[in-house]
Amino acid sequence: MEGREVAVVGVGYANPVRVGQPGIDKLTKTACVAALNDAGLVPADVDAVVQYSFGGVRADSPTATSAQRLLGIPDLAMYNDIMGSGPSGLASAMDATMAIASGAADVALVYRTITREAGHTGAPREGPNLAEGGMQWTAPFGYSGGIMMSIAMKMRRRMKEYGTRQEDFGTIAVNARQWGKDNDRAVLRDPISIDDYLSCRPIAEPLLLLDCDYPVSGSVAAVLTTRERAADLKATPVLVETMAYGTGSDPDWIFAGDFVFGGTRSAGHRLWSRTSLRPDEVDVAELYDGFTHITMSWIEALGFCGIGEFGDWVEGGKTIGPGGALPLNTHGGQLSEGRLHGLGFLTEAVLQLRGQCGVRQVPNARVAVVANAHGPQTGAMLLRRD
Amino acid sequence: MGSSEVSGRGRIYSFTVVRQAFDPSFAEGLPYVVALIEIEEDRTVRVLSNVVDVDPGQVEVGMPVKVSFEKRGDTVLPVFRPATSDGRVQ
Repeated sequence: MEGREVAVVGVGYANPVRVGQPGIDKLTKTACVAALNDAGLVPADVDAVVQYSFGGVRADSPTATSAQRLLGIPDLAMYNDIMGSGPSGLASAMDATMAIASGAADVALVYRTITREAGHTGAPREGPNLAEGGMQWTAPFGYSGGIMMSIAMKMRRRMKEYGTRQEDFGTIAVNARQWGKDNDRAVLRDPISIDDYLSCRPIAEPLLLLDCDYPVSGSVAAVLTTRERAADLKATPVLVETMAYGTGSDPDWIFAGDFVFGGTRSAGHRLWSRTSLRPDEVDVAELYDGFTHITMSWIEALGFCGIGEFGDWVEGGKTIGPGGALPLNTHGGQLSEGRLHGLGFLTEAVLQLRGQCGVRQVPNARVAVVANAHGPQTGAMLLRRD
Repeated sequence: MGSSEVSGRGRIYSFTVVRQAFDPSFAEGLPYVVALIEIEEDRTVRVLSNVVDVDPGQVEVGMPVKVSFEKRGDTVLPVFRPATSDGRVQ
């Protein structure tokens, strides 16, 4: 990447909860203070705040300037509220990386707070009586539940085009619990088998219950700064090697040019075009798993195996489990840790590269890839430790 | 961009069998099929609709379908039924 070298120097959480509503201000403050403490910085050091939320009437994450007030940050040289589009929570860190690399800011605090209510797309809801805008082409046919039916149709098309089997998706669900059992933050820690996966409740076939992440309330925060500033801080700096967005052609969740992969393939191609590192040098992969299809797309889009070859490559889960060639979603992903909506993949990668993951630590992890979202709004970051 | 008349014939590009109603007004119709149909005149053009009058277990990717118009409430919607490859509704 051009510009100043950027490092992630702090990570923090408000641990995900399944019940209760702690309030988005409290969640955000908890995660942000933890991230600043982790970095050895105070609010007065921060000059940029970026957050991601769904937006809309009921806020699921406070605005950047709300967080500024909550934390007592004197002034901001840069701030942004990314809403709706963009690669989920990772979008906040990608935006901050550009701000620091360009010199627009020196120390950026980023966060994604989310509530169980906002993340619970499967909840029955009263929709508008009249479908407006793009929804007029979909809602009258019973297309609802967020992107769930789009993902289900992508899975079906994938099965037809590449011979992907239902149990191939299941390896990702089983893997999540296998790692998540050693993550104290994870809300679903009981192991599951491939038979548990295959016999669970269908939602929108071939999408099954265990293909879907689990809604929680919580918050994840990170602090980014220059490599130069990072050298004076207490933690081992994790450097941003490069990053890339991708949308694909005709970007849309339903009517996209590349229906099965969305923007993941262009983001993957772009990422590797910006670095001398290669996929076989990646020690750990933290790839979005709001639905298992998304993770599978990223594995192939990032070149860890050929397009359509995930089923053979994953060897029933051996490849992505502890001791495997590509440890995947070592915190259990959102399938196990809970739907923190994206930024948790970055913070887990940082903890892995610092060697702070305890039982689930991948030995000598030096390079990590992180990716978020699917369809028309994808992004990926490549991180390394010196 | 412009508009042109089409035959109403197409093939199923992909589909899902919906087992859980996220919108309560569709609960009575479970299970139902939501599908993307590629139209015969241009396979890069897809429409989202329902495939009706078929056992969901019999629906397949590539299946030929033909449009028909169904009254639902105050509206008439284009839905699809299985067809023979020459476009006759089965």
